[in-house]
Amino acid sequence: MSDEPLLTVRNLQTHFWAGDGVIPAVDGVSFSIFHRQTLAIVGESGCGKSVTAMSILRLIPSPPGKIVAGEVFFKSQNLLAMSEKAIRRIRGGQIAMIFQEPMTSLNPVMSIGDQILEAIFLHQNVSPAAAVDIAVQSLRDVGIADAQRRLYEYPHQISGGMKQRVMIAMALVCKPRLLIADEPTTALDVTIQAQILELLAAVKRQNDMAVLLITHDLGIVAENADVVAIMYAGRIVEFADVYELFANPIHPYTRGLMACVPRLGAPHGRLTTIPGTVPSPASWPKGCRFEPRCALCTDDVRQRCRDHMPQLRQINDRHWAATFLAPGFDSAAATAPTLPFRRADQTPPGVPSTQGAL
Amino acid sequence: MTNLTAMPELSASAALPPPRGYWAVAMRKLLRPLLVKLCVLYIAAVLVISVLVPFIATGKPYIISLHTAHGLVTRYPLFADLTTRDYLTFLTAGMLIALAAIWRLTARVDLLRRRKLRWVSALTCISATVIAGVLVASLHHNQFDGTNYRHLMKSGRATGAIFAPIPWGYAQMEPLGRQAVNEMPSWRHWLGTDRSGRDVLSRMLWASRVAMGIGFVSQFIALSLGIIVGALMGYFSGVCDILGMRIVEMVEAIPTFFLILTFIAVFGRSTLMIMIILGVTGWTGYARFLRAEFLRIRQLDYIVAARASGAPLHSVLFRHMLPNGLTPVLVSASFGLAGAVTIESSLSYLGIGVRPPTPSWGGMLNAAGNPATVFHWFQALPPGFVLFLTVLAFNLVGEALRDAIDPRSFS
Amino acid sequence: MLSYIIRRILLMFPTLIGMTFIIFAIVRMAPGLTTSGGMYTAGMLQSHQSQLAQQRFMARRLHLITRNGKPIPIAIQYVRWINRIIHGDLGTSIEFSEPVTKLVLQRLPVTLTINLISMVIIYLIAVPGGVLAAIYRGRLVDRIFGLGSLVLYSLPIIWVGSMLLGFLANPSFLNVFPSAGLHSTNTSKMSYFQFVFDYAWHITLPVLCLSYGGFAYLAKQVRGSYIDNLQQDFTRTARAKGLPPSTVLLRHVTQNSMLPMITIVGMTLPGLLGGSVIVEQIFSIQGMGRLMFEATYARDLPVIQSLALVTSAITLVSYLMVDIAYHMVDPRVTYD
Repeated sequence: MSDEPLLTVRNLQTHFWAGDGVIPAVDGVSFSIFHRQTLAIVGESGCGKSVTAMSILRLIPSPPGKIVAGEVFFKSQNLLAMSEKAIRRIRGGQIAMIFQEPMTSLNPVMSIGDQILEAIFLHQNVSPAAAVDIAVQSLRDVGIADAQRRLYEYPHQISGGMKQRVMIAMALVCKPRLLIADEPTTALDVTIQAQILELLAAVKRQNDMAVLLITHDLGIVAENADVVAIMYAGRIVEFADVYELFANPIHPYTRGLMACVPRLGAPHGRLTTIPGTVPSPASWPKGCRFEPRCALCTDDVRQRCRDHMPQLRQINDRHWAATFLAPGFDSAAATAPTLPFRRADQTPPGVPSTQGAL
Repeated sequence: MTNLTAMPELSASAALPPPRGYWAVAMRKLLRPLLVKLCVLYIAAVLVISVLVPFIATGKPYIISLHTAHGLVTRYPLFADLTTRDYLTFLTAGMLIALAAIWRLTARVDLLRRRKLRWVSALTCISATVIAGVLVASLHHNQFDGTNYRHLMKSGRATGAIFAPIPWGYAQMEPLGRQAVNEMPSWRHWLGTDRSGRDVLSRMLWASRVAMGIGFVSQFIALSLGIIVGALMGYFSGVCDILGMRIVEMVEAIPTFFLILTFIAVFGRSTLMIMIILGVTGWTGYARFLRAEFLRIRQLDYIVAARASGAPLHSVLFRHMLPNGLTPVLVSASFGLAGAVTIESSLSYLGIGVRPPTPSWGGMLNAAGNPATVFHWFQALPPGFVLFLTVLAFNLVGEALRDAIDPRSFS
Repeated sequence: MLSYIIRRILLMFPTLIGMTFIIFAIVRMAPGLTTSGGMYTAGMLQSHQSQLAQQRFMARRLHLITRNGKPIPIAIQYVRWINRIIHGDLGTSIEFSEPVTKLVLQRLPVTLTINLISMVIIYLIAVPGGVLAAIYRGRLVDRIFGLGSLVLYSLPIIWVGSMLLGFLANPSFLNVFPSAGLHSTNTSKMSYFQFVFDYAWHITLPVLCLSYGGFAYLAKQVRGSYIDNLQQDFTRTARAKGLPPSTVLLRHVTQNSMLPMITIVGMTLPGLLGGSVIVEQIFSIQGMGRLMFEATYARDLPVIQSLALVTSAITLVSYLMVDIAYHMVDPRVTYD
């Protein structure tokens, strides 16, 4: 569509002040999203993926959190430098967000209709009657039957999956260019998960928008994402086209993650795990933060891993990784990795079709 | 994934604000523990004074040599003057200290022997105290000693006297000849005298005994009642719970102060009776609280596990549920203490609390005169302030303890 | 909805009966009131009551609890007592030699007016205060507010009351407030506005004494409630929609935070009633609290019994109204 990225995040750093220490939850994250692209950020709990998403819209609770450095360019405006008033026009209007917990993310004492109408009146100049029409239509679009009646219902009267549908309807009501979905299906039953993901793919096509999908589930990533960023301990450690990533994972952490996914038909035995846990920010090593848990680290690079932080580096035209284990890793930092929107004809041979993809 | 909670930025500043909360965090880190420590110290001081006040504020000297027909005779009037109540207070205080010491000293004993050791030594300690108390109560007779030792010293009929730091008893009046009524603070009377010529400071210290005694005993009664009822309701639930809650609701429907006044009108107002009345009217909150805790804890996995592993009912109740449900209840007793002290002084202020001449902070406030006409503010200020400090200290410590056991309250 | 209200009122009756029985039983236990007709002197407080009134009371008492020299069972005594109450007969005061019903009707409006005014003031100050503290949570303002409200909460009414009176309404110091009563002596000559002003002038200090403790308590509750809701996910959703902070606070957070406040309204009134015993005594206001104090002092059991009953009834009714209000406001509550 366009060669300009829709959203570019550069060197984002978000820190939290907790008691006596500073926790750099996001520590220099850079990436870009193009129009109609789905970028998935994957990582374990506490790796900073949700904080990254919240930082884009400046929804970080402050105190204790603060975005200490970085730029977030959306349509050539820096979101982090704009006024509070200007960012409010972006929130909900240009960039919408849905959350992990549909159960608690809706206001329990406001009717569904009121909550949707609130968003419409905020960003669109329409008459009340027209607003109601838009609200009804948006509920129909997310597959809610009997939308007229649902407007008058309260969140406790509908099921969890339905609530997430309402959240999506509410997010889409102002036709945003980018939807940030922060673990949209984690709190839902597996069957409902599939429905919601399908719905997300459908509304993405309809509305012609980009999606930033935050998840810890590689299965969801494989099904839905175009581009994947793997996060570990506040940094992106690998960034690649989804097919490239699954075909050729480079970073030891990514490979560890993939090895952890149980497969049908695989030989019986213990499930693979990554030894240890994510280190707390206080004990982050000076060098590579994954080094203490790394199973692939060889003796000849270990000293280097301990002394130097590997920067994200381009492996090929659709693959970046931050590890010394990649062949020929010498050069220093690269800028924000970007992958242009993948056209249908660019689908690499030998990769299954992308029907479920967003 | 982030457990850091959402909070809107409510400042309109466009530029990124500096991280806020430094000062607040610093203040909290420095001030809060300091304040709490001061409060604990203050409460400890009030407790020590309330126990040892017969040695601190009395007109009787520790030791005095009298010139008599048989020559110089050494007497110990202060010790002879101690009443049965004083001895019982010392015994109780001693017992509590001994219990705390037992707890501390057995902390290092291995787990298997510790429980038994603690039970045996605690029971020994308590029964020894009870026996000693009964002996003292039956053998000791209060002596009335009306001698004015200061006068003896002045007239040269006695020598070598060592007086208490505050050489005035709570009921001791200045001799009638002296114009010493409603005196302003002076070297002789550090906080002045009241309308009967009694030393305000001495009375204030003695009043701490009334306040602490009524506060602690009444809350002990209330806690015992509340824990029994609450534990029964929370453990058995069902019919027991429904009946118990109805009773709690019935008692709570009567406004506490009115209930207390009704009790006082019916049963009179001796110090012991006021302790009982405050206890009998104050248990509902504890019962309600413990019941809620129990109902919550019953659902927890470790209780289910204990029951599933075949632990008998009483074992589950006493070993698992009570210790865990009790902590928040005991913490809330700190607020109960503050309330009991307030109510006691209010009753005494109204003239329906402890009987004169027993001093109480509320009674002293009342004795400062009618505020609208002849108001001796220097008599009203100190007891009121001490009362306020005591209530504040208990509330602050209660709040600090509650924060300490509540993982949610990190702010 | 209607069925809920009816059911809730029906549920109130067992509590009401139990509560009246508790009051009845306590007063029945008074020494000297046994069927033997023994002298009613044990542990008596000093009072102004005449020997005659005392004897009249005893005679009536004896008449009520015995028949032909035999004691009437307590249950029947209780039922008869309830029956008299239903017919509006609360007995006759020993101290005032007047029907208790008349006394209560005289004194109740005075107390209720002052308490309701205090309650409105408490809410008007405490809610914004608590909200501000919640917004600036964790910062210096909030710390000061937290400590300040704890200090206020801990200040004993008796001390504050007598100090205020002693320094602000005493000829020896500042004589800016009236020291007693609710009206000046010359109310008949006043215009309406003067009358209201005079009344406000008189109740300033009593209302201050009644409200500061409740204010501190309520403000703490409001703060806690707002902080809870500011941390909720729906608040984040509202912000992600692009709503300005003021709307997030005033619409989403307030709607959710005000629900528990409704319950606290019901709790405040009984507390204020207890406080008014002390405040009315300090400021010489002829209200129900003072009546209760005088009755306790004089051991005027019919008055005590009736006042305990009336205040409990007020408490129960306020709980009932609060419950109904809560159910009407909160959409989550169902009626079946």
